[in-house]
Amino acid sequence: MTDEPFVSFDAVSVIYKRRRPRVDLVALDNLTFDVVRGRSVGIIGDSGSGKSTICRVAEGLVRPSSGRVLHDGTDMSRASARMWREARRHVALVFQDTLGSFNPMRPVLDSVGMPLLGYGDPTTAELRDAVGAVMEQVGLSPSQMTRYPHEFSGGQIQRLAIARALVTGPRLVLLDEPVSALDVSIRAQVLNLLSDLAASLDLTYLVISSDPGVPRHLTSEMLVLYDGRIVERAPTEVLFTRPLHPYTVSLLALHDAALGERIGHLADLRERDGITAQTGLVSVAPGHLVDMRPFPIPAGWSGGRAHAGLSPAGAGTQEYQRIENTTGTET
Amino acid sequence: MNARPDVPAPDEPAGVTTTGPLLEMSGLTVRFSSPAGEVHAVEDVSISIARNEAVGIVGESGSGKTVTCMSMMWLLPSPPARYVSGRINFDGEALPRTDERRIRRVRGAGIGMVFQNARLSFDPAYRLGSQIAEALRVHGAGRWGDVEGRVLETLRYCNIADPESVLRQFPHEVSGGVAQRVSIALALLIRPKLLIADEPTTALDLLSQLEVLSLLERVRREMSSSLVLVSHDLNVVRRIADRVIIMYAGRVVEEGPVEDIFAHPQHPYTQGLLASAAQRTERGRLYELPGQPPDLAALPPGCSFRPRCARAFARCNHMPPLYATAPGRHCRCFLLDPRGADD
Repeated sequence: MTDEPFVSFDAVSVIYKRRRPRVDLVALDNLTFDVVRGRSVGIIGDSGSGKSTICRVAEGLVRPSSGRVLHDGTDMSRASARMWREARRHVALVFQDTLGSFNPMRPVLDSVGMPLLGYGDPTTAELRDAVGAVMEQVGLSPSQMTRYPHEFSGGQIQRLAIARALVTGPRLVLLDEPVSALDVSIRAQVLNLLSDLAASLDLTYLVISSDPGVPRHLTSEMLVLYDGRIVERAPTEVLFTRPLHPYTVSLLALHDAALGERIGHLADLRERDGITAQTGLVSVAPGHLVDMRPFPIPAGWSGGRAHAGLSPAGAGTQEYQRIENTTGTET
Repeated sequence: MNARPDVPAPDEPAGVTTTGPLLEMSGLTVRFSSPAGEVHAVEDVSISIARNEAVGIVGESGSGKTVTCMSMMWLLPSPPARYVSGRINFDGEALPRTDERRIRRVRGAGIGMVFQNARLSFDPAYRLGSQIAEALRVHGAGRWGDVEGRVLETLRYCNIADPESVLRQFPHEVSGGVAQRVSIALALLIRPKLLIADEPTTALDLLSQLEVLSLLERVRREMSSSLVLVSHDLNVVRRIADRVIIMYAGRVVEEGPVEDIFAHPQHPYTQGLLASAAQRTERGRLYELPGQPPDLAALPPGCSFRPRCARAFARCNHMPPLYATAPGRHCRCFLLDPRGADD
């Protein structure tokens, strides 16, 4: 295969037309990023930030309103259904509501093997072999393939969903909230499984989650999405140790109370020359980009305060604006 | 804005401040029958909540945390629930399950509740305003004209910017975060002595979670009511609670002051849960708690956590009692037996 990125977003916007109110909904706003082999990408953001739309666009279920999506360097803007089908073979998707994606009336064999029916005409024996193999890979016994979805626990259903994603032998797996429906004590089991599979099967992930802890151990790069646009992007460990955008800081502080008052880190920007309140992403370090636009922080938002108590509303806003002013006067 | 009409809160018979715990639940056992057998949802749970205290109840799905807090005001219909045993004292008085009239009085006025999916706790066919008005009328707060000012003020207190228009909206027209804040406002309007919040942030996005959490914290500080916060999310509980109760398979397995528990968890389950939640890594792998959550219809004999416990030993074939391990701390594990683990 080529060295082209598995999937590229090139200035992708998705706009949904609405009748009432007559304001178009911008789900994705000029999004550009690549997923290259072996460098998994995490996308974190709230509900409504456009996370799931990214999955749909990458899989060709939603066409971009503008911009291009490329698979292996091929522009998919005018791709035929056949081209998409071939592309999806290499780009699998694990859904959020996993139990709902299994047919309750059929043994799990049918659901896990279903993707294969789109490629050729496998015999029953071939299907059973393929399903048995992927079930073993995810730590389930192949003898369980004749059971029904309700006979599995939440963690096992998630393993089955991963098995179904693997059955066509993909290189890239899109994980949309892969553990959010699971109990805390089960999440680590599934995250470790995903990390093992990435190593043993040479998989690359695009991990989408509202919980920053989920992509942390699976990815090398993180994008923070707010309102359809990227507000910060950084290598994963950099994002967790030196988050800059106030939105990122608050996301991380809620996830990890010990993170403390990281909002002060934005002050570091003052030391850099030439940064003003520009529009769009500004590079602050190699691979670390931050959106410098003024950012409205809702009332009651705590900024980076730890559990010891929440700071008064709007503290984060002030900090951010103060920095903007200082950078403005310095330059 | 017109002056706030001076409506006496329904439950302030001035001067009657009793000491002792606000709510005392003892020996609660709740079971459900299912085709797979009898489900032991809650077994012998005793919880005491002091005045002005914030208690967090933590557990995974099936740990019995919701059944426990629903039972604090006998909210579960029976059948299907079977109350095997359990007594509740609220505000110094016994609250028998059969005393419908007193229970009705305590619900709302004495104990308010905020549910996980606030939108579902409203009737979809009525505007939010009329549902608030009805609740206030039932609790004797007065007619709408008298209380309107207080309603608007409380909604604003709960960070609802435009309360007049929210009151005219139907539940489906507001966001989950707004619905949750309206339901907190409703609970506050009746001024309960105890507010129970069952997973109040779980269904919300992170921004709304932060808003609801800071609101709950403010409510507790300013209204001097007690708070029971039920959650599977340790960070949420840590943020708000003074004391935390950890439940596993329908039983209390550990309880103590929140910072103590986080700093020195004693029960192997609590230790595992904290390590999983903190995403502690060992040689690049996340710490994982082995095994599956228990099947409440077929619990193993002895300690329910035994099948997943790395430190289980012969004695764990019996159910350990809840040992008092330090001032204010309890732990249900033979390893904490003050007379020695290998008895």
